[in-house]
Amino acid sequence: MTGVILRKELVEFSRDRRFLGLAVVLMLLTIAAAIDGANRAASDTSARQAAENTDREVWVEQGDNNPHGAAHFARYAFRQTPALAAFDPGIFDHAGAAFWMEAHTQNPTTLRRAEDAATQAPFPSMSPAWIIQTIGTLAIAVLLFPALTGEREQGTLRALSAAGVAGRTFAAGKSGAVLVLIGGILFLLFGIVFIPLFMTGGHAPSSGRILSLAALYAIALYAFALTIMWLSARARTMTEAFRSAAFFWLFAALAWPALAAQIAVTLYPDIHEQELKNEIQTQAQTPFWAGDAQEPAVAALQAELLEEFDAESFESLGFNNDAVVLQAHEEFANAIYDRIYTNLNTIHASQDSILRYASVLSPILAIKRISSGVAGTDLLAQQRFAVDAEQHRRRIIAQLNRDMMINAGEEGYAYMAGRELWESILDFQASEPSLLEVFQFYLFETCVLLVWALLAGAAALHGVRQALAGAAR
Amino acid sequence: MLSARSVRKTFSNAVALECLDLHVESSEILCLLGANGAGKTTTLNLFMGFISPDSGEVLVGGVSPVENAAEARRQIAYIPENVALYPNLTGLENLAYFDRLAGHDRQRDELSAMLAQAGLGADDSNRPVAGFSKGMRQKVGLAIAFAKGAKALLLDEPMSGLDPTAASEFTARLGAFRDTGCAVLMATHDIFRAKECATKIGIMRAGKLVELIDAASVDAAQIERIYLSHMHEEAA
Repeated sequence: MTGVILRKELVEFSRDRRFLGLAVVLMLLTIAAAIDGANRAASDTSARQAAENTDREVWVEQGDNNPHGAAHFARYAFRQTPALAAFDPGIFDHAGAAFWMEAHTQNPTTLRRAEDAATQAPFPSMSPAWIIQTIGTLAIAVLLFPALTGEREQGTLRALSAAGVAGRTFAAGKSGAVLVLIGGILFLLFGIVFIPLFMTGGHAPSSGRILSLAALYAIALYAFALTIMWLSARARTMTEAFRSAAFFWLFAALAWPALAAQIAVTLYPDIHEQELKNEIQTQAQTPFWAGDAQEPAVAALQAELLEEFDAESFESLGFNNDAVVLQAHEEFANAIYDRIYTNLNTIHASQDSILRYASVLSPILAIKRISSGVAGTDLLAQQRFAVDAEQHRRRIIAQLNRDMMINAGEEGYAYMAGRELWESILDFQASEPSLLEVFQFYLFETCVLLVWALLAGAAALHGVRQALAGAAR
Repeated sequence: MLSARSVRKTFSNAVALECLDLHVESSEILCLLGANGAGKTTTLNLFMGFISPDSGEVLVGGVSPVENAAEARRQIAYIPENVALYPNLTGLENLAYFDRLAGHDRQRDELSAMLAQAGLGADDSNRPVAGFSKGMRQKVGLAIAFAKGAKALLLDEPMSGLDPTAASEFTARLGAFRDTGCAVLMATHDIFRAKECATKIGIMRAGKLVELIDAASVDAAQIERIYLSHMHEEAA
């Protein structure tokens, strides 16, 4: 009997002009956003590749140069644009895509796409993910708010009760139809729109990530839809059902995510970039170059070198001491940078935890967060890029300082290295958090989604049974 | 088939039914006449198991709708004043839906024949019911009741608002229903139609069945006189 109800619901959906209209609008918006996203991802990828090639060419072709001069000239690390950034750009438009790996300083990331997005993108924020999260849920709210009140007002709920239909069966048929509907929409979006688009970019996302996204969106949309059905079952009139569905959508899709973000930055304000630079200057530069931190740092490094080269005195090694001082500063400053950037990351993590716990009140906020995580465009991915780039900077600078230390001798800053050294510097290889790491990071949000789906399912079942019983009175 | 014994029902201290004794056997049509608030719809709702009596006993084919509403409802078909149908589905699809909910799985031809038997032509059967008149909806309601194969049919003001032709057709089809052995209980205000189709006519006043008339023994004018005399007693 559940199948009979389910089939009837699907037939009704297919003939509902609101459904057909919304489906067409949703598909058109999604296709436009997907094409835009794919173009943006492709242009980001080609821009990054061009920049990487130029950076490498300029680096290798710099001619003879002192290694420390070259370290100041330095290289850039560019963030990878994951294929699924076309689906969900997450925070990537607002986070730096490049990292200048210069000597002495750990720089913050730079070159945010949002800075010039207005001239580049027709839909700066209308990604396919945003369309599903915001317009898709709005469409579900519009379609399903009359699910029970409509039946009550047209009298069919009473007719079903008189026909002896059990509440559990009716609820199962209704919610089953919603599940099929959501599955169909997601299949259409993922199977017909996104995958072909991503495949054409030549940088296809893994099927594991696509399937994970599809499954997570199905759970989130199902939780949202069942909540709307529960609200419809509780409402006494269509107007009341519409009001409560509209309020829930406004709250869950727009107001709460925005409010939670504001709460996060109010409770844990960001450090201003200038403040960060001042902190670096006063803690990592001045104490070493104008204070008393240099001597013990150099002595410690010299002791390490003696042990490494099994020598009795530093002078006997014939190493250039200027390079030792430079590397000693790097090692002194690295510890400071670790502390400063750990503080900064702690602030970001605290902001992130506010959003994490806020997702308890909104399945849409929960899916927003996990979606950008699986797409590889979230804070986790950005921090991974910054950490990887900084580690690479430290390796490059150490390699250049070591070359100068071993080869410069008395020449010091007059010593010139050439192409062979520049070519030996490895290019930056970006990595991204694995799917397992993503799920570990977003375990809470994943549980929130599952609990929402279970609770909304139980509430909808109870609400539908109550509505059916109530219709008989 | 339908039986109520010494039933009392109150709503917020207002007495809706008092000492109601009523029996409808197979192949009988009992029409309940009475003013608004006399307790006709409350009586139907008791048999449907939509409400429970405060005291007394209600049985449908020997089954109490209070104790086993699902089993009681399986034996009953119900046609309200406005038959509730799904507007986006055709008449045939509505019938097929309710037919399957009743546990049958009749083929399209058989269902079409049932609609035709209820007076709905093939063209109309395949149109969405959103554009149906009240009479057409009642015909679909009758077909649904037929398809259910119910042993009892409950009708609540089914001819209210129907034009004379549609009302006449409807009463004719009720007769066909009775001929299948079905017990019919109908609440109505229409004395003329009640006389036309009923085997028994009950007059209700203030929650009581004050008169039970053998429809064959009186004409419509006599029924009207009896009815009005009871109503005047109430007014007095």
